[in-house]
Amino acid sequence: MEYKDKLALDLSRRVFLKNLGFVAGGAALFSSMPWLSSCTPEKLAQMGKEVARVALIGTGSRGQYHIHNLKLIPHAKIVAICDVYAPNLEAAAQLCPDAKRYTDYKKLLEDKEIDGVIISTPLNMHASITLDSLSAGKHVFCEKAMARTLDECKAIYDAYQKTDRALYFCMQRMYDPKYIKGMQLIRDGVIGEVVGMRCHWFRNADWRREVPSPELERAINWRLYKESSGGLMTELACHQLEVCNMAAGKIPQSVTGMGDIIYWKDGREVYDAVNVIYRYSDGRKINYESLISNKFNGMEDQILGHKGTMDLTKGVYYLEEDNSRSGIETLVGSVRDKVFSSVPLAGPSWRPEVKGNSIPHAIIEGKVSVNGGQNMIGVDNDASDTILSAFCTSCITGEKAKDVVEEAYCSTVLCLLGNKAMEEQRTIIFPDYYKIPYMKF
Amino acid sequence: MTEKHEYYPDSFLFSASLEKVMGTRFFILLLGKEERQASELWEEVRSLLESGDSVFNRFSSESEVSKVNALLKERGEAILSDVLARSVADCVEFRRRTSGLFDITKDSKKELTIEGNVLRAEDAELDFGGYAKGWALRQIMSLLESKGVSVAFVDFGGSSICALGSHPAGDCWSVDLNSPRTGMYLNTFSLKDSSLSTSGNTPAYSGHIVNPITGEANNRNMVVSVEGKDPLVCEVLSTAYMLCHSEELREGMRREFGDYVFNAYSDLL
Repeated sequence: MEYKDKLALDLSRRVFLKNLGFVAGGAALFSSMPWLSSCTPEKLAQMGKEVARVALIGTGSRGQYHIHNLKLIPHAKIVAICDVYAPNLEAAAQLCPDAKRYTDYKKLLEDKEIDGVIISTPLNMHASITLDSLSAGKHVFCEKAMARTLDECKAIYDAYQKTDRALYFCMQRMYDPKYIKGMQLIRDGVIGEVVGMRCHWFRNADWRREVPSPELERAINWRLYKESSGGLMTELACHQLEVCNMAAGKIPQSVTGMGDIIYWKDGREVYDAVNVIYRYSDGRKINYESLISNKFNGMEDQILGHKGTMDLTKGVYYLEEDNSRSGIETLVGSVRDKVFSSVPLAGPSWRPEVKGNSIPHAIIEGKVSVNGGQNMIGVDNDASDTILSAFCTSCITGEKAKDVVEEAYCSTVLCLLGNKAMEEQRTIIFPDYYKIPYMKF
Repeated sequence: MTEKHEYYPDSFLFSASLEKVMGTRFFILLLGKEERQASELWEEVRSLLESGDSVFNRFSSESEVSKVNALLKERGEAILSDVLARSVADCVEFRRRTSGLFDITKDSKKELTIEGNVLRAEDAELDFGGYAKGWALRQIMSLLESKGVSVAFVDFGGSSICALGSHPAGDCWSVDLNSPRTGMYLNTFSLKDSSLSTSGNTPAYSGHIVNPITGEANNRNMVVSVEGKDPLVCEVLSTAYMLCHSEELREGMRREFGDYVFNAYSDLL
């Protein structure tokens, strides 16, 4: 079987859950990660042979990436495409020639044949298009981050409380097997108590796109201008902060940081280097760093525990203490208490792990896809296809994905607060107005 | 080496551990002794472990085996200490009795002769990885028995466990073996005046057991446990049994070492 056919089969049958070995432990999994409950065989049966009729709003590089993935999802059909920039629309039309073409998304939203829309536009357009799409009765899948401003995020969140439509943001780590299993291991105490987080994303690229005509600079290179972009925070940190919050089980209370344009002094407005520290109420911190003039360190999402480190990006964890000590402590206790029991001590030889001599343990069995963070459009097997497939399922079943909007809201608001802290050069306390019931501080 | 020890007078229980000795950690429980006696015994045990490390640790350039390996490379011959000479003679005998599967040269084609304290081996590098912990445990258990200890439990890195007498509330020392890959339960061993050695690959550490006949690293998802009286024999056999590539070899080994119990688990889940 060809790789693409296998992928299509995987996406339709949700075998990724089985591949994680979660069949027996499903109840516990769905309790801690309820959004995955839309990926069960029962949901598949409920879907029957129905197909989600979807349209793409924004068909630039990321939109075209989604088109490639959608073509591999058996229960998805691309019925329309929309872009204001003719070359992007033409490129998308080459990929799906049967889709209707639009240059005005509002016209597209009038089309009753469309169940759901996939929004891959510049960040400052997310809010208006998402809100209009929900109002038009469409299910919505929008790229992260949620929106350009705090008020826009709040408006989307409030609208979502009132709608019966499904709304997804592309928080693909929530559907990535190594992150799912890694979070389970963290909750099972494998790395002990979570004491901190270190995330970084390094690239060596200017982030620029070629501009055929000067008046298109701000439209095409929208990531470089504050009006349309939150820079490194909304484009990169958004995913990583979400992972930290999941590991911490709460939301940071304050943020401080420094941002600068160090190397790419080409007229851009957003920082090319950020160092941000988020602080939780219990003193734990996220140390976040991103720099796009040096790629040596790549991308890493590290959750630090008092017994080990979970390196979720690479799908491995490291233990720094003797993990069989708990068995020894049990044995000592059983002798002192005169209670006879069997202790789990036997096994292949334990080896010490210290920095420089650390032994990585695989979070999941089998081949693990590792995203080095250098691709600026999207990579294979980072679960963007899985979350997109889940969205298509929602278009058919009408079921909302639990917690996806909430997670996107939390991480986007944190990104925007991080930018605010850097711009105002002060520590920002999480504002009460933007708190939602989902958040625990 | 990081050392920790504690005495619980209400239970006459002494527990001690040593981190990073012979590439792993060591743990011991001694029962029924006064604190002073137990502490003195622990000092002797530590001394044995340290002397074992100084002889067998091939990752230390100062160890005897490293110096011997350098001499073998240079001259094909070396004069060994009594301890190492006896150990090499032991290993030569184990090589014969395991049909060549246990081999400290990791290559069945290498000639290895020991006459008195003189070792001759052209172009050979000695590796006591499947032997040293068993050697140390044999010395330690012998020491404990000679000092009148009748109840004790020793865990050397999880892969080598020895038990003297029984748990105070039971009729043995009960130890579970779980899969190193999945954590799934595999077996329970009831140890009493006996030893257990376990070999296998873990997700983090595989391919370290090399078949001296084929020269291939064993990457099978498999766990082997051998239970019996002598911890050194258990240690040697768990490595050798892991490498048996035919039922005939396995049968031959079980017959040759009839007093030992062999368990092999496919660890594919």
